Amino acid sequence: MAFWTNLFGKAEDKYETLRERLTVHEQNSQEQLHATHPHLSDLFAKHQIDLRQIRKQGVRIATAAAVLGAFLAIPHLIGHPSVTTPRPQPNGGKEVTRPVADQSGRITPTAISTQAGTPVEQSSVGTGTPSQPEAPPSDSTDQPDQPSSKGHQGHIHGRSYLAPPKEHGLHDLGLHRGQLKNPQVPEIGPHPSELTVNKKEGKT
Amino acid sequence: MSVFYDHLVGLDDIHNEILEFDLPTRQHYHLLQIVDSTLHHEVLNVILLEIPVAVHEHFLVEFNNRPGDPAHLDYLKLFRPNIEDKIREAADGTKTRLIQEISSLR
Repeated sequence: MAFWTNLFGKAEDKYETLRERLTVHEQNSQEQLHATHPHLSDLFAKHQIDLRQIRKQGVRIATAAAVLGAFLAIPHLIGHPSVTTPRPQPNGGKEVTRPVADQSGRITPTAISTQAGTPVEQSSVGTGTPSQPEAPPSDSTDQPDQPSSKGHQGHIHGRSYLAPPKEHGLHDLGLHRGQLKNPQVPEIGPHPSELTVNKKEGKT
Repeated sequence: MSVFYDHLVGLDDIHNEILEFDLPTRQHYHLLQIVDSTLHHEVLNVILLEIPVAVHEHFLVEFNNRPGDPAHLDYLKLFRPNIEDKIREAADGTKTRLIQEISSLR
């Protein structure tokens, strides 16, 4: 019993001594600050500034940032990274980028690539000039998707933009699986909204 | 980082010195908190000495609102380009004094 008493008693003595000595330094530094800058008292009172609270507030902000960072890292830690990360395509060709909403709130595809690894970039709504390297310029690219007239193209509208992109992406082109191999369908051509053959096939 | 100059004021030396006393964790960090407060006053004293009195109020208000914003350091450099050296010197001097005080009690 005496052993423990002496042990804790010594520790308490050390702590109290250290605390008293260090507190003296703290008070001296505080007094020196106010002696050097006597106008600080008025400024502190005017704006309700407390130097200790500044330190505590800083610690709170750092703690909140750490907690927020840990919370945002949970999907990565459990193996579900953000859906914005493009998935690698094994055959390198069929890839449909995520549709994005334009200024009017409609969801439009921003880029489309086709089979055989020949990417074709589709300009966004409103630009009017698709950036297809080999296809002739189209004059009606202002309306890439017409939801009222193409029910089967509603995959774009019926799918949340947070959902992962479809593997083949043919629905975004107004096509179905295997139709790209159809010689009637040009491999690189005008915008899907202009593919009248697809409208017929899609509606039937 | 809790305040914008924390990277200039390290507490590792003080921390290692207090570790020699083998205190309970709560007491250990309470002493570190006192040291941190001391350094805070010293550094603020140096900063206010280096910038014009006319901007003291603006700086203190901004510092109070956003303690960890690194933009404060850029603001101070407008008046004293070597403010980082000044802060580091003041902190090192205070830490040396405190370490002597602590080691004398061992």
